[in-house]
Amino acid sequence: MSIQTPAIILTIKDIGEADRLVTFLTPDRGRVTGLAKHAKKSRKRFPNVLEPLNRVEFYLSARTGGDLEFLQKGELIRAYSSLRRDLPRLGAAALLAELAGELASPPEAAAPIFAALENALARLENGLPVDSLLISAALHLLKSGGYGFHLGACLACGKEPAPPLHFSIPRGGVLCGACRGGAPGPLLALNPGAWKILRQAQEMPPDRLARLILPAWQRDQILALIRAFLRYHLGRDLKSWSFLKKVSGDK
Amino acid sequence: MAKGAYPEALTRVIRAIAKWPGVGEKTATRMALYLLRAPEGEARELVEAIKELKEKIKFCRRCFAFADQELCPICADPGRTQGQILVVADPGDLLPIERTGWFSGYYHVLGGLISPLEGVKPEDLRIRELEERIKSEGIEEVILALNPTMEGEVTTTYLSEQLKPLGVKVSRIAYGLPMGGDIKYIDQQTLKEALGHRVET
Ligand SMILES: [Zn+2]
Ligand SMILES: [Zn+2]
Repeated sequence: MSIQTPAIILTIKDIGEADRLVTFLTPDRGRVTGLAKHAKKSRKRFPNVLEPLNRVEFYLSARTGGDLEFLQKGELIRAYSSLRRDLPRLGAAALLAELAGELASPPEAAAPIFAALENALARLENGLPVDSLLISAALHLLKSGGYGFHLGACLACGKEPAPPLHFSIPRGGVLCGACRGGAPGPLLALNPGAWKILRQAQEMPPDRLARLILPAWQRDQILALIRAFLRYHLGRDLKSWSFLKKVSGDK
Repeated sequence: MAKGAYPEALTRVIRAIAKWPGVGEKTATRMALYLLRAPEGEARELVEAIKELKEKIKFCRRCFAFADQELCPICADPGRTQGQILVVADPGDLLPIERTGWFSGYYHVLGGLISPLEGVKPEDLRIRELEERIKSEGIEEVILALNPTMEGEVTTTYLSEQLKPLGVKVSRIAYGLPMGGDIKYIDQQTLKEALGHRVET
């Protein structure tokens, strides 16, 4: 008896000489950790399967060891291997995968999160502009996980926000300069251009993202905002930020 | 282990051996019992060898392979081909490549692979040291022999982008190796072919 599930692999660790410990995202159970016994030397049960970011089908043993699943075998569905030769895209893919894993644990909203990550990985491979894709996919994942940004109207007065704009990290929304007084902080100053990009990235259908072009400084300001928001709400920094920062140069 | 089945001194050795790769408690018990019955000299020799291993083996200050001197035996050998560096991830990858007899230049051990999702960054590896060597040793070609895994390929891409501006030819071993494979476990013939059919990046 085994249970079949779609999965996107997040991380793999070698355990001893033979076994591998795999953390992966699933649509039904959220983020799961499973043990692949003897997967290091014999790859017959997992041909080309055990690689981070791979979209696979896993067969889990019906018997579980508490929080640990047992992986019986796996099949590769898609490897997104062109990302490995384009580091800014790979950096974006890694960040989105790690974010999806965090948001899908506990697993209530795992299905839309899984679908959003799978779509984002495919689009990253298909050559849409990486910066706008990363921002829109991150906002989309956050929304699926219940952390959608409030961007259309000021959190305090409910009107179209008037500059100088601010972003409330605890509440994930925008404020007028005049309304920021009583709002819960920390607050970040938000450039009006960056605010517009955020709105478009959150609302624009993904097939139109190619039109959303932004300069490097604006991308950096938006990513810094998302990073501060995540650090506040997750209580720690995602591991993938450092690599992304290293490889996403100025253009 | 059944509690109290053996005296503590014996259990302690079993516990220590059972931590070794590929050794379970059964095998560890057999080994410990062997040591107990072995001649005094044999057990002492093992103790001394382990002590020396921990005291004397460090990293070569040039290539970061294992060494018992300032330089490893390969870096200390002036007869090897100058101008070529072969880059591996771990000291353990060096031996299978050296055994093929295909490569006669010098090595460089990165100390791992870039892993974005684990937070392993380029700065965590010995890449700066590699760049210094390329400049100071008159290197013309760098051969990247990293595992055909996601981390290996990402590191290959990163190094190729970083090193080419230094004016060296950068090549990687052919991916005739099975995907997800490990240089340490690949047979010599396949490894030799992958090295021979390297491609420029
Ligand atoms: Zn307001
Ligand atoms: Zn050396």
